Amino acid sequence: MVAAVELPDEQGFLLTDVSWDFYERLLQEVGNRHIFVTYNRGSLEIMSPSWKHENEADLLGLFVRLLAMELDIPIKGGGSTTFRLRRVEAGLEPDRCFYIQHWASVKRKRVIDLSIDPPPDLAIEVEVSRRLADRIEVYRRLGVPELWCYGGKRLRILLLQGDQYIESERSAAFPKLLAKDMHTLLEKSLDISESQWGRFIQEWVRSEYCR
Amino acid sequence: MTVAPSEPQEQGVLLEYMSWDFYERLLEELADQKIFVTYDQGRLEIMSPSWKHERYAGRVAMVVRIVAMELKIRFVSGGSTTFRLKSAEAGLEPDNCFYIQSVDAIVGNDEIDLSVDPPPDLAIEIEMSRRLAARIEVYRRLGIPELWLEDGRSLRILRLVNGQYRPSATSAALPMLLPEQVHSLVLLSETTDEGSWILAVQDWVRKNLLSA
Repeated sequence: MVAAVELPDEQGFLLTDVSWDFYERLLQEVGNRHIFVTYNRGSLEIMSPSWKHENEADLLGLFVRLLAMELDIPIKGGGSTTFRLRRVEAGLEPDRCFYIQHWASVKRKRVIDLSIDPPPDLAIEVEVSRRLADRIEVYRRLGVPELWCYGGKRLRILLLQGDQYIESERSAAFPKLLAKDMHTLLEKSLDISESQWGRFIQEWVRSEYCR
Repeated sequence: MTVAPSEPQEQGVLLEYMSWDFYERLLEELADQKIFVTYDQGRLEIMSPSWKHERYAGRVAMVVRIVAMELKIRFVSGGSTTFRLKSAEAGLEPDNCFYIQSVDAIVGNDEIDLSVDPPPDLAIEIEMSRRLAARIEVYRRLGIPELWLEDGRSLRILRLVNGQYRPSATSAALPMLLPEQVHSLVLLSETTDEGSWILAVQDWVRKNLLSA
């Protein structure tokens, strides 16, 4: 299953009162195609990502990787793996996600099962179009400890404290990193190529962290 | 399964390489909720109709009903029943449909099974929203003999001739009624309330079709 290529826009659909079994049947049918399915206690959103959505997710993913490489922090990228947990009736594919603090516990895993494995330490959520599903609520129920929500205008860091997300000025996975700095860096990406931007980020990390 | 009521706009998604089994499982899950699912050889569109779309579908259907009633033409409304045929890998809910010429074949039926029953004689398709699926191709494979396509600017008739749709100036189901007349009557509804409009359509039918 794949989204029709001739349609440039993000398309989406939200169904409600959908059973968990149907959700699993849909995931099977979708296979490894790049479609985002969000399940939240009976409501099911099907979304095919747009160009802009994927661009921004890529950029933030690149940022995480460069940061980790420069700072020599071990990470493992989880991409847009489907994370689901029947017990909390929640499931989704993050726009991008990473194991950082829990890198060691998943480094050799071939499959992640949230009923035994930890959730990713950091997920990136790109908010290009208004999502029909309450994705943050799903991340919350899956127990993802840190979210970077990027809406083009603003980058918010949300940290799970108890069972609620609280907006934070700084990241938990990368403790020196401030949301406002990240926003400035992302703005910079608009005018230059990704490779130039990558080098720019590397230099920024070196100057910022080696002071 | 229902569309979230907080979303007033039309929403739709097209998925490809979906199995017939999945299509049937989805229809089961949707039960009787008003969501349009179009299946076309693996391509599956899920769409929730807009207010405008539904309003036009209702009005074109009302013209059909009033004409048929006034002229004592027997008919059965099929509404937006799901019509599907596994052998053709095709299925959809028409925006509206009617049994007219073959009304005797299905009158009293609780269910329609296209592998034994005839398809509706007339289907109404409102082309006002961006449909992602090739709906006309699906109507064709289901063997629906006549389509009325209303897009807000005109109403066109397509009739099935040797397995292909051809534009036609006249209807087979209601030969006394011209497509431009149906379209004018539907447009008239935009200027008034539904009750007054129904009376005006009745009046028009009596003056123009009954006296002839």
